[in-house]
Amino acid sequence: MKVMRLFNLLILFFFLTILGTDSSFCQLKSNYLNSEKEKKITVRIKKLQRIQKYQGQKHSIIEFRNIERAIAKGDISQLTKYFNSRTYLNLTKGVSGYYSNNHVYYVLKKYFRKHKVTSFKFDKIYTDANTPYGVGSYYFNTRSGRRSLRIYVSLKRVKNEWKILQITLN
Amino acid sequence: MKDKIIENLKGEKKYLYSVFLFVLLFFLSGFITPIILKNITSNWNKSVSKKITEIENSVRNIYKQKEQNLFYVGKQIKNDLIETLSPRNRTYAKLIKLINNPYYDNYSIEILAPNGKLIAWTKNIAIPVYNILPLSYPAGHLYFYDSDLITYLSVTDTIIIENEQFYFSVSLPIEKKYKLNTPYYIPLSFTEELTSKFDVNFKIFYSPFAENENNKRTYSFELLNNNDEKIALITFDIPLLENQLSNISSYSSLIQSLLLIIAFLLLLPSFRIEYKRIKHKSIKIVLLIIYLFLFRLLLFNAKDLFDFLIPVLTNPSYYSSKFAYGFVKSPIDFFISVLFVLIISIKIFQFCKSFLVQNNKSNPLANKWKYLHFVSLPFLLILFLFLIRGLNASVKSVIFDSTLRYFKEPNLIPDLPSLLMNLNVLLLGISIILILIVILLFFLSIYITSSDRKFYFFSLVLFVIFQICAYYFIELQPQPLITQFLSFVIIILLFLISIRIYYINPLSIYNYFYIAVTASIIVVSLMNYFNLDLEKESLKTTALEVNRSNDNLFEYFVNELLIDASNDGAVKSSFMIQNTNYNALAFKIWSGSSLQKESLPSSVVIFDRNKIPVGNFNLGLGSDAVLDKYYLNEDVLTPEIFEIIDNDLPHTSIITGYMPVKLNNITVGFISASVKFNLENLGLQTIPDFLASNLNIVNSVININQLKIFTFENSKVTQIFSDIYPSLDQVKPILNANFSKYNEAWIYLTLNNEQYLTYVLKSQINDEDKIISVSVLEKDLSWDLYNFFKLFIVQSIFMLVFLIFLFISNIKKTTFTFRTQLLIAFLIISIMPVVLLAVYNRSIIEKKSITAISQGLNERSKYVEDHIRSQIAKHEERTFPIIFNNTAKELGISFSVYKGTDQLFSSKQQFYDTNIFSTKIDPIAHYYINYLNYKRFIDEDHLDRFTYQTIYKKINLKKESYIISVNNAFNKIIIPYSVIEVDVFLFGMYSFAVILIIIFSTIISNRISSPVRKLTGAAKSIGQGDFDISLDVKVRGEMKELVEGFNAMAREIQKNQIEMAELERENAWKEMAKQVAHEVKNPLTPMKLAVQQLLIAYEDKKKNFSDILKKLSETILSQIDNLNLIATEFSNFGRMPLSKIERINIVEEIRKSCNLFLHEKIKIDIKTEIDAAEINADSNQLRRMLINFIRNSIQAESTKIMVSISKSRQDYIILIEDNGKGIPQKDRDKVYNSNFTTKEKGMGLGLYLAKRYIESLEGNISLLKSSKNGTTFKILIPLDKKE
Repeated sequence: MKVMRLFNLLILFFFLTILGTDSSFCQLKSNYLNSEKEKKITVRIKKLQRIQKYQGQKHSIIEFRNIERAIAKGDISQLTKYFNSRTYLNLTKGVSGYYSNNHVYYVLKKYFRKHKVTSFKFDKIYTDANTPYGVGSYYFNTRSGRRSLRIYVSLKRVKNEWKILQITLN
Repeated sequence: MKDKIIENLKGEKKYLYSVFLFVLLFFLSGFITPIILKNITSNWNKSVSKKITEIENSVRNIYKQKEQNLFYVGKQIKNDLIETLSPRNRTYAKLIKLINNPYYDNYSIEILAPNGKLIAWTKNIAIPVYNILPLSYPAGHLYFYDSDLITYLSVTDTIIIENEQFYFSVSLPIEKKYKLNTPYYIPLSFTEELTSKFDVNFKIFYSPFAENENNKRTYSFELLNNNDEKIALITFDIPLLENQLSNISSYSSLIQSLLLIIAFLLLLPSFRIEYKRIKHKSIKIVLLIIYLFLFRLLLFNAKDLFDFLIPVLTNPSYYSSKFAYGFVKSPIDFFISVLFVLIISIKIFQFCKSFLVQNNKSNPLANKWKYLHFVSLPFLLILFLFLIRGLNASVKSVIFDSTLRYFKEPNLIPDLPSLLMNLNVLLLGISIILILIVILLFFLSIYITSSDRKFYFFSLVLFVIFQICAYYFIELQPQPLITQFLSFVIIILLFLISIRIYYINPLSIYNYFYIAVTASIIVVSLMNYFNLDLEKESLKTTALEVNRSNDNLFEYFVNELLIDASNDGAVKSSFMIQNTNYNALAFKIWSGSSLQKESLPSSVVIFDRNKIPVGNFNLGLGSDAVLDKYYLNEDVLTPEIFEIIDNDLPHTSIITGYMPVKLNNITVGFISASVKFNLENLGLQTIPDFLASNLNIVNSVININQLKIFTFENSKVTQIFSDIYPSLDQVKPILNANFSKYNEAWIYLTLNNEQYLTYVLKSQINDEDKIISVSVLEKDLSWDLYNFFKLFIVQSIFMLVFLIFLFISNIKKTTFTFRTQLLIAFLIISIMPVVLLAVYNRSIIEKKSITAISQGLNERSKYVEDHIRSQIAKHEERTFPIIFNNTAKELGISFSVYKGTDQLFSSKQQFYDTNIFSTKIDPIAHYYINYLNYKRFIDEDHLDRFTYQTIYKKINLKKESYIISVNNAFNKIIIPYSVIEVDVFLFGMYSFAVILIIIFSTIISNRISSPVRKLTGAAKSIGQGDFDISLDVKVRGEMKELVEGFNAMAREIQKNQIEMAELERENAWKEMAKQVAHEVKNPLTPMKLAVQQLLIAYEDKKKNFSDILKKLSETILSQIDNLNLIATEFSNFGRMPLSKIERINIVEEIRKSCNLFLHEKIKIDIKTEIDAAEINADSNQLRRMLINFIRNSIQAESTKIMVSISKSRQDYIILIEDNGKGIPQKDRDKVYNSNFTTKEKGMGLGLYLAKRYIESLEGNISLLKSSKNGTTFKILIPLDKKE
């Protein structure tokens, strides 16, 4: 009988564990301030002057849009397909260097979890460069208030796919 | 009711109640939190003003604390100065010693003479003399002093001694105005301190003139000093309801996580008894796995709790991998996962070991397994090979998916994340190796033999099979993770440890230590091996890095720097302040930028509103990289970026830009920034160590100076990073490389007859082929002992801790036997000198390193001095600045020259202009050279955590005295061995030696003490009456004689015993014959008389003859009964030897008997649930009987005996079950017969006597079953009638 009780309890904890994905169990999810607003993502693209030279790189704009959407949602899983075997990250608080494909996922995931994005958009996207890149402003909430960072993302074509060469946050 | 509750709470149930309590609290906190949040929301307006007041008061208190500390130090110094400056004792030299006391290390202290001259100072000078006098604040009043790079809280006071007024100033650093991304930088910020404490953004204006901001979102208040004067304005963001709610919600989540974890942990003691009662170990393991899995899930979701408690260990950049669905997403997650896996591995290992090692043939399960054995072998072999591959892949992930560079750690004992990762890898290694050993045990248990030779031969065959399979397993893999050699070594180590566990010492608890050592050797070797891979990979990374550093990136860096700097309020206001140190301003701007973070050759130049350069900070850029004022235009609103084309450097990219700084739409100045990249700067030679970023990946895996990098454009060499200039023939393999579809190739390049491993990357830029090749000498990639020891030393610490833990946990069972004493003696004798030697060698090499630095500095100072003198001799007309400059350029040595106490010249002037270094001479050097007249003096200095040495040397030039100084902050001095190298080699090698000593000491002490232990056991057995013993020990010398003597003695005792028994028996018979004769005579006399009387009566024909006949017949019959009785008594007397009947506990006696065989190759398990089984019997005979049973089992080649004691209604039931070769069918009926034996030296009395003994107790003994798998005897002993 006691063994059965043990099983019952284990099952109870199992459900509690599964349910409480962010450890906020049974808390009412109503939002008093209605602070979550619909984030509309708009991309402003700088007038490209040397676009003829880099026709092939025009398509990277679509990728930048996807990346922008992923960052704005704080959803790293959408970025996974852009990670190269080695991606250069330069984040605030000491994270800097080349990260393996396996490694980069949780590094960025935690970073975006800690710096919960409130809005993000690329201010400029340059596709007329050797390596197309985009620069944007990343707004996030901290305990002490709202702050912002500048993001630099550059892409590189590998095996006919666009991969992120570098992400820098300043 | 109350009593019942109390009773429940006292027992095991208290844990269960606690579980429910915590679960209740968990739900409760979940329900309460929204109520609290609602309450806070509705009362926010009231509480926010209260909160603001609280913050203001707390900030004031924090400031007061700093003020009091400063005040206290000031007071102490004042008292000391009064003493030192009194005319009797007055010497300025003493003052320098006094204020440079380590106690005042955190403070900057300056003392001025009545004439305003600086007479004593500390190494860090906060305020220039001209800013101390005239006093900006009244004496004794505290204020903030804004120096170029640091803001201080200062106080200046006076001391009047006999009408002379001295001044002294004490300053406490409060806020650094620059940020460096180096391993040495120590941040200091009062603003950050307050922001992190109160979770609101703070701004502090360290000026009495700062004015309140009219802003509804912020709150400002004035900070007053000890005299209620305003010295600063503090502004902070008014706490937001949104943040407050979010904080409370997250704290509540943390509490909930904690409650759930505690509840889950409490489940363990709650169900401890039930868990123990579960008979099937496999069910126990399954339950444990379920429990740990659920617990892991719970901890997985409690990530915020770990972030809160141990943020440093949850950082995924130290280690994280997508493998295992996030269960290894940080070092701490990896630790928890691997710890749980280890627990499960240990349980599986224990279960399988007890099942496989003991060879329990009588176990019916084993028989079933016998058939499964052969079916499962191929699967197990495949599992074995894949597990090794799994271990390799995991260790590779630890190396590749981490920013930790285990082999480049600057300290012997690394920091916490690295330490934890080392532990994780070790635990992972142990977990997998435990399972690998289980598989090997499974294979070893296929063939059962008692012959050593056969067993080792079988093991060898298995070993060969495994090696062949592993060889083909690696050969068949398209991308094998490890080499054949590593695989070979791993399998050797696994076989060695498995044979020890299976055959040599299955029961030793120290087997776990040996497993840990094996695991450590394997994982450290693997880490070392994969680090080689990483080094190779770093060639690729370097090529990527060269590719990454392109104009777009630099344009971005310059652009961001200019935007940030031109919008920075502090920078803007600097243009409005008189006497601003623009060099320091340029350094501050540079320090916070990506240019510093990426350690790029770069510069920041400040122009005034008239476009005249007023300050700059330049690292590795020539003056031509500075933007000409012609380009500056104050009308631009965004940074203007240019590329500077230098015809002399066609393949060097210099990106420069500028931005006007505007205050109220009026241009007050310009900021310009430039950055350069070419291969020559890859090695960071242009940047001093104390400013170089520690995060440059190029520098983090492999020493950049070991690399040779060439770039080609359209098949022509364009840039070289190498001391070798290759010929066209030499680089042909690069150009003709067979590129993959990813445009990369790995080739070997031969340069100067040496082989270089080379990575070649091709890319197309502007329709031109660009090729980058990165090479490293192949021998530089060799697996070396230094790296092995670097990690092994860390892991050996864990292993020694584990060993101590095992020893302490086993201390109750540890008896200080001859073996233990021998082992301790060995360890003390061998470890002591090793440790002493290590410490001694370290101190010697440390001294040599210091001497090498001193010599290096001394030599350089001598070159400088000689060069200066020779210039003076040759060119009298040259001024000192020209001479000094020439010396620095021609010798390539950086130095400074002082006249008196002030710097006259420095070849690294910009570092002094920016105030990173002080232009005042080091006070300690001043003390020794100017007061004590030392000719030269070497002092150690610090710049945050960066330590460097400086030599100060007094020289006379043109009849005037000067001091030259040379330090190793600007001059790199190569020492033969760094302290870390020495530490790793000494302590690494010695720790390896210590572990080898422990292993060999154990083996040797075991071997030496083995015959003594066997003799002790045999002597004990003889003492218990077991004479049928003969030692078989293969030893030589005195020990052999001792063993042979003992065997002879045992045989002699046995023989004497038999003879004695014979003699005793003979005597007893004689005595008995007498007794019988005597006893028989007694009834015979009355019988004879009765018969005679009967005859007389018959002859006399007496009338009452029938009466007489009847009477006398009764007498005769009675005497016959007597005779019968006598005969029975004698019969009983003759049946057993004399017994000593006493109250004995059967269980206890069985245990004592079994303990005699502790050191023999047999495992005896006693299984009983009865604590005491008391009967009246002779304990000696009972023990003798059991010894006889065990001895018979050993002689029947048993390895395990199970003695089970149970109780029925009438009897105690003892089952003695062995796994020996059994009793042949034909002999089974004869085993109780006296003189029946199958042994060479047996007497055939053992079982005969046992039967008689048991029957004397009115019990019964029977042979329950016997086969070639073992024998079982059943003994019944009646319970006491009282029971």
